[in-house]
Amino acid sequence: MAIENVIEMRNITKRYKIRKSRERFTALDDVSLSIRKGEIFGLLGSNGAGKTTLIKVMSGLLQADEGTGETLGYDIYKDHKKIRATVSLVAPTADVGTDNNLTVRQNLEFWAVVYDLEREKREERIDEMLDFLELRQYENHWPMSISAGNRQKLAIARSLLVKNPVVFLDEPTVKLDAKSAAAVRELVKKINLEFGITVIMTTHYIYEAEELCERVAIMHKGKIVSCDTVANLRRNLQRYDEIVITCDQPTTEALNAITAIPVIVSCEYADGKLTVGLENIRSNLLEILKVLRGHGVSITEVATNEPTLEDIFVDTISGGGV
Amino acid sequence: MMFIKSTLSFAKLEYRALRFYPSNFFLSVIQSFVTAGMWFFVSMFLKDYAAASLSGYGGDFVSYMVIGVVFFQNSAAILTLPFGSINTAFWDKRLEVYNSSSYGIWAFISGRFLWTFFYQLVIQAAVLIVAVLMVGVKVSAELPVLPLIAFYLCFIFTCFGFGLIGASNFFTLEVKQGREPFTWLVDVLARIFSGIYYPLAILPIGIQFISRLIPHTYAMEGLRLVMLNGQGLENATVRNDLLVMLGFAVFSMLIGIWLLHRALQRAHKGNGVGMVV
Repeated sequence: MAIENVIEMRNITKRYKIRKSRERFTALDDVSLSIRKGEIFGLLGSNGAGKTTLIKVMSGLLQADEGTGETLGYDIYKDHKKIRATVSLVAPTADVGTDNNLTVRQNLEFWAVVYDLEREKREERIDEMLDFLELRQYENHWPMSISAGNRQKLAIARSLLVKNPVVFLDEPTVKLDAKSAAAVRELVKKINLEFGITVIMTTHYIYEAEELCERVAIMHKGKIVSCDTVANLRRNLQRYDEIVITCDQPTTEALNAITAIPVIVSCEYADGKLTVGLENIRSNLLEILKVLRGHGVSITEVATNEPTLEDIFVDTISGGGV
Repeated sequence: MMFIKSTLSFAKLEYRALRFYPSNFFLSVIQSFVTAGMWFFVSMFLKDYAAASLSGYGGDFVSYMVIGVVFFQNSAAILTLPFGSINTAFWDKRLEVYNSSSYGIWAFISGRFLWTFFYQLVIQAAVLIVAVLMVGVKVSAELPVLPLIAFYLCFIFTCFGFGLIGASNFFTLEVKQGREPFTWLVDVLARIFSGIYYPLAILPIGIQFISRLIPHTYAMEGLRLVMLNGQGLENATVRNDLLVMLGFAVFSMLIGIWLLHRALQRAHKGNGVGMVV
């Protein structure tokens, strides 16, 4: 296992029993995956794609039927108890694991003992988490009396009490309103940046993965159909960025000069608009504009069109991957 | 050490829940008094008729009945506890979260056991004390304390062990709702064949052997000999009953722990502890 990888899964297959049936449902089908230390990794897919099952296998909660793998260097078959003790998992709904008979602070005190946090460190760590997650004002509130977003924060606070090096977040913003979801996303960035914790999150919100994740695995029907950085996924799928420039008719020389730029894949003028397809809009836009101006083309408007992760997701699951 | 701390933490959770809903405690107390009271009046009605069959226990059917009912209520609460705990945590979606800590599920069950043990001890002791002081239930003046504690603990751990066996069915038989069949069977057999409400002598001889297969029979016999007759380990029946109860306690605990451990492993290899098959 490479040193910088905290998780390494090879050819993992998991089949679920179906009640009163000999047939089995294949939830994971020959999944291989590496996750690097310190990254925010996204598992993206529609419902039933296998995201949660994969998280459970990686976090030692579920045993795979086939394949090999290690989490933090521990074998997923032999050392699943050690894995469970050294990773944190936040379930999809905030209420899971939260005791409504305990206040926010008492919940954290309870889990600090269960997670075997040293007595001297407990109060200090709980205070740190309450401040870090901006839950201080609710510390004596009952969980039922605070918002769903704050309950999700409480669930995350619980998982961060022991500062495990890997945190699994299973659909952390599901059922949250836009404001609470944005707060949780900020939190994910913050725990990754400030504590250096590797975050593995599942989501079926594409914008969320795009905003947070350095790398994304797209899952479909138990398989990983694509796994890369968002930029590489775009490139591999040949979903190029696009610039639409409203301008005068460029000369043939001007069009040739643009086409000669190495990253340009298409260049076409129609209806007063020049549409340029290229690999990386951000680093080449200025050069294109410079070429046009150099050939005396008068520009009135520039619009850009980058493919979103949603475009990639749709392309990937409809086309079977890259 | 971590396991003990986690266990105590889960027990404290039950205490906090009780503080949150203190009425539950009073309702439990009232229910125990009502049950004991109901059987007290039944035994009052039948005491003259039953006296002849109870010479071995001093002939007092009322005391015989109340002691039987008090200990049976206590044991029944422990018997159904492990399955009930797993069942509740599963449907509250807490079981998988508990499983994500090192000793989660075991500490959870042990903590609930510890709490229920003391909770029931207080309630049933209160029933017994009231019965002795206020309605004339007779307990030996020279109560042999050590045999009493030994019988009580063996009985409780036997029921807990049986409860763990029952809890394993949550995953092995996939009994995820309703009553679990193993503890249900133990409860039914105990009610009919162990002499809680009547002496075993009234059962047809042909089926009395069933009584000897049930731990409750030995526990009830031993506890009554100790509490009603004041007999200790010098009595051969008390000695034998205690030995059998010790065997039941050790055996049921070992089997229960092993079966639940296997059941959890089975769930880990199968669909996990948090999913309905």
